[in-house]
Amino acid sequence: MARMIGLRNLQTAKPNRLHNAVAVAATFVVVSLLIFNTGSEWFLAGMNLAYVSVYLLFIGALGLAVHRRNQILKLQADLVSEQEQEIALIHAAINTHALVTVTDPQGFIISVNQNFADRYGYSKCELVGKSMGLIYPDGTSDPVFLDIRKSLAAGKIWAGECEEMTADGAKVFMRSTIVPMRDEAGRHVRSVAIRTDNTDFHRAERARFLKNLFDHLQDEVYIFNARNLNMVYANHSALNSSGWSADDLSNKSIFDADPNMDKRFFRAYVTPLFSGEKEVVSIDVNRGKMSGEISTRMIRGDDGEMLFVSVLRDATERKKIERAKMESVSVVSHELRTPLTSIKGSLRLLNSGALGTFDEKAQSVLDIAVRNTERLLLVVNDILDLEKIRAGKMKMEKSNVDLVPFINEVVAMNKGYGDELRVAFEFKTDLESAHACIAPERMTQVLANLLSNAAKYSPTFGTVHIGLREEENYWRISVTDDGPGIPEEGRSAVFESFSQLKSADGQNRKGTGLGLTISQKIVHAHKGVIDFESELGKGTTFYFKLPRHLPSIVSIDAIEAMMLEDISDVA
Amino acid sequence: MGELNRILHVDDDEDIRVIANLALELVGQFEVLHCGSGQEAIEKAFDFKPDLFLLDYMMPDLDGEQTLRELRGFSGLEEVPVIFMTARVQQDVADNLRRKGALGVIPKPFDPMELAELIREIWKTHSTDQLTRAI
Repeated sequence: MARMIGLRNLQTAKPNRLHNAVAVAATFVVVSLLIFNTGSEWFLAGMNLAYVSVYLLFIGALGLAVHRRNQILKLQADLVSEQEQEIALIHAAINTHALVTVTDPQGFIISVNQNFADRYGYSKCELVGKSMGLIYPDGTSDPVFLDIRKSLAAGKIWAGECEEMTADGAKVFMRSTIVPMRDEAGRHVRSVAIRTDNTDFHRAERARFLKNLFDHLQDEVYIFNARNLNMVYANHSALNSSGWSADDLSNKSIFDADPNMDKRFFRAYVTPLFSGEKEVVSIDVNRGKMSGEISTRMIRGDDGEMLFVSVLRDATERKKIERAKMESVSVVSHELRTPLTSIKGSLRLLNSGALGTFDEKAQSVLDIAVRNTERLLLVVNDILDLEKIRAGKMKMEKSNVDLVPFINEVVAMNKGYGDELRVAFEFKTDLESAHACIAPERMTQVLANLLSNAAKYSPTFGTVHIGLREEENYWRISVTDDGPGIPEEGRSAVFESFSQLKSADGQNRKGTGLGLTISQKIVHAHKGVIDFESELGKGTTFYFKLPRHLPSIVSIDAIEAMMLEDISDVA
Repeated sequence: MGELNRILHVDDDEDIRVIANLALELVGQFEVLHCGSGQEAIEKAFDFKPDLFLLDYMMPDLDGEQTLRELRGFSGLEEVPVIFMTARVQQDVADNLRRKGALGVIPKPFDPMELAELIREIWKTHSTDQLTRAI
């Protein structure tokens, strides 16, 4: 602006000098005429011709000067109007292209252009008088806002890019240049800010970055529309293994990726995503020699469409290791159980008296050997159980079971163990029947484990109370002892493998330290909950809750109807 | 199926053979031939003329099933019933063996004081089954 004003001064100076020259010439002519008029005789007599010539010359020069002056004045006017037009155009262009604000030195808005109001989602008049802080994520204490204020106060232009916020909280990226204006005394009177919207560029850049990342991911990535299952994106690995090219992706659906994929099966697979039951669903797949795992989740795209993102991870190596591990566990179990068979058998024969009797000391040592062999065998069995559960090999054949007679039976089965410790089991319930879908063998294991724990921690001649009641959508089965209790700081360790807590009464009790870990896994496999409540010195209640309602068999049509419903909800 | 007296027991673990010997001869009063391998059993089975094969399932070289196939190849031994013993706890293995015609599958570790009784039980149940079927 300053440069333009200087230019204008320069141009107005030239016509002024010409103007002076013309004035001098005119004065000279007038003075000459006066002289001629006073001595006309003398003029006519001698110098006539010469004077006429000089006179005419002066007249001509005068005319030419006036003409030139007019010409220059016109040029000057043209130039000024052209410049004004140019400035108006620049102003209009800036206004159309950029977001313009004028603020006072404290950052309060004096005026904004329509672009600014539109982009930030305010009306022009509601912005006037407000602090510029309202477009920064942290308001007037936002570090960027403060930095700008500081720079302007020091008379410096601030330029940079930053993240700002619209009225509805959406993030925008702006490239801004903010100029302080000063009055003649050098005081900061206002600031003009010009912003250009860089949000799309930012988004595109991020998308490009992510795409690049995805493209070169070793895992196969498939993104497809959740409504019609048409492909939206497939990375290089996915394109390779599907035999697609990036160009014909738009004509493909996810079913083209694997000809063996069953549509109904797929719909059933993704159903938990629609129902909100799960965020990610996973499934093992085998493709030739490759075995892998597909994980799928559902996301909402930028345009509001729901998308499935499936990632296929090659797990061939991992599966191989897992298999080898399972085999080694099986081998170890065999290798351990064979010598245990001999040890246990020998001890049993000795203990039976079939080979003669022992004196009291020898017998007590023999008893120690018997007890510890038994314990070792339990550990081996528990490790095998855990390994089986972990590998998903534990048989969970579920059936509809009435828990009332079931619990009665398990309690009766464990009576012998209670008798040994001189602890009674007492089962009481108000329910006549309680049907649940459980794997009876496994649930027997859980309950037996809780009963034996409770008996172990009960005082001699104590009673372990077993309860069954309804609680919301669950059956709650509880086993209560009046033992020493579990301190709160031990809570997290209770369900961990091999964690036998130091008992609150300082006594040691025998166990493998795996029982509760196994019980927890079994209960979880029933979509149940297992936990405990305890009071030091009073006792502990372990309980597990099993879902009350038998899982109904959902037909594929129902699933499809549900999917469509969900999609229409989204739309 | 008549009286159960003679049992051919095959197990590669010597200690287990000793315990089984006590369990079957001392406690159970059976007449038992113990063999340390399938090969040994194949050599001696024909002369012993057992009423029952009691075979360890997991053995090196010839496993229980392979040994049984060879043993059944001798004339007079084609119909001799079999009970397997196994330290492998997998239920499916046991089920599979029963389906293939084994009288029973006894898991290890076994109780030597109960083993003889257990085998008699299995034998008796099976005889009754056969009897019922015959009628």
